[in-house]
Amino acid sequence: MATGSRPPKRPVVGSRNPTGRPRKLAGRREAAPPTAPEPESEAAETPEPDEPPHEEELPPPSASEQLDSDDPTAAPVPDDERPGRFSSPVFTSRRSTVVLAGVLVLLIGLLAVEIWYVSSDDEPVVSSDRPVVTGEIASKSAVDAAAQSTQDILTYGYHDFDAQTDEATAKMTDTFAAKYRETAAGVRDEFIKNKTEQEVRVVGQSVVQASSEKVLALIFLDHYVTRAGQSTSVTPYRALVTMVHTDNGWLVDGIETQ
Amino acid sequence: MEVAPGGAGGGTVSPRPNRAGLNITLYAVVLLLACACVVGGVLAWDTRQDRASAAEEQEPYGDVLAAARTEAEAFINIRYDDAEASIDEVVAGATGDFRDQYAKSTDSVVQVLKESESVMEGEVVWAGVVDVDKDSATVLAATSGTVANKQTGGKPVARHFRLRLDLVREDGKWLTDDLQFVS
Repeated sequence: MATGSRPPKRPVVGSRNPTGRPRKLAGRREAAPPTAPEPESEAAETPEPDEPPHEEELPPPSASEQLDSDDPTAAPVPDDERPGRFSSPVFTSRRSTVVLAGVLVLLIGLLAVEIWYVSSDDEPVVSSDRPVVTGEIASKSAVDAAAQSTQDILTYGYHDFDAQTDEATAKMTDTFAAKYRETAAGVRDEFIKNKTEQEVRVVGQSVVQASSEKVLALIFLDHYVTRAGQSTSVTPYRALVTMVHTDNGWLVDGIETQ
Repeated sequence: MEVAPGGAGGGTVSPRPNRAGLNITLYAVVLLLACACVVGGVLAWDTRQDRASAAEEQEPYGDVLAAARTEAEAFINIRYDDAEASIDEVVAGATGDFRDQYAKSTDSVVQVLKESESVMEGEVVWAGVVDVDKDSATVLAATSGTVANKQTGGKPVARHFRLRLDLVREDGKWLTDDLQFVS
């Protein structure tokens, strides 16, 4: 027997590929003969009648197998074309796109309205019917500040008149501080000459109007004045104190007394 | 000869993969926006409740101040030549012990007013709320006015008062059940 001419190996009876045709692999299109191409879908999806139905037992082709294929008609099937999760018309139909776009627009509109409503400044305008338009805590805080500041501002003596004037202006807005300095300068000499001491005590406080930015407080004051060689006199006062809210908290913007 | 779509001989491209991708993206965005809308709805509801609560809390201030002003002005506007009407106005806005005491003293008050030929006039300059809840309130009122009587020789003399009024709500109406001078 001559060497080098080994007889072709016969296929084993019952083998999976007895005819020697290229194996049909799941997920891989079969290369059609150039002379008689079959529809690719049939080649890929219709099982060969002489093939056993257990294709899933074959090992899957490697990526290199698919990429190295030199068959010009062989092309991978896109995932979306296979029956699967996203092949339903719910995902692929134009109608779904239109409906989703509509819902998207509606949701954007609803969200915009919600953001506007939550972030809008809904504080009503102060009026005689509704003189307080801010929370009780905020208005009471402002009235407390008004009472304390008024007491501090109007209590001073001849000993350290200038220092107390400077200290008092820290509780005021710039506008009111300028007026206060002007008034203080006008009475300074007389005040020191008479060795005057004055003290203010708050005997009542209430809110007249209040918003988040501005509060009017009605303060009842007893004004004690002592001059050298004289007894202390007491005068009852009513003061309308204007407080404005600033970055530095509530500051006095005006004191009107009667 | 047929050419498989997407094959080497086919120039057409199926739109289905692009549409599926677009729809999946839209589903995801819609889901996110729906969640955001739910959160926004809860916040909006809370905001609405807070505002309604604040409005309910602030509503009495106007009514309380109006009632206190009316009562205070009735109290400081008394004429000896129309004393009964002046006193009736005070009683109309009063309740409780204050009303009873004022009504009981009508005869003596009228007598004093007529003897002194007293005319007291004035107005509330400022009024503010010390405290208020659904059924009670305390108000400070600053009044300015004049009084003229035999002692002043019939000439009006300035009278400024500091008043404190306690009010209660009865049948939806704010009435004064105590009035005192703050000395």
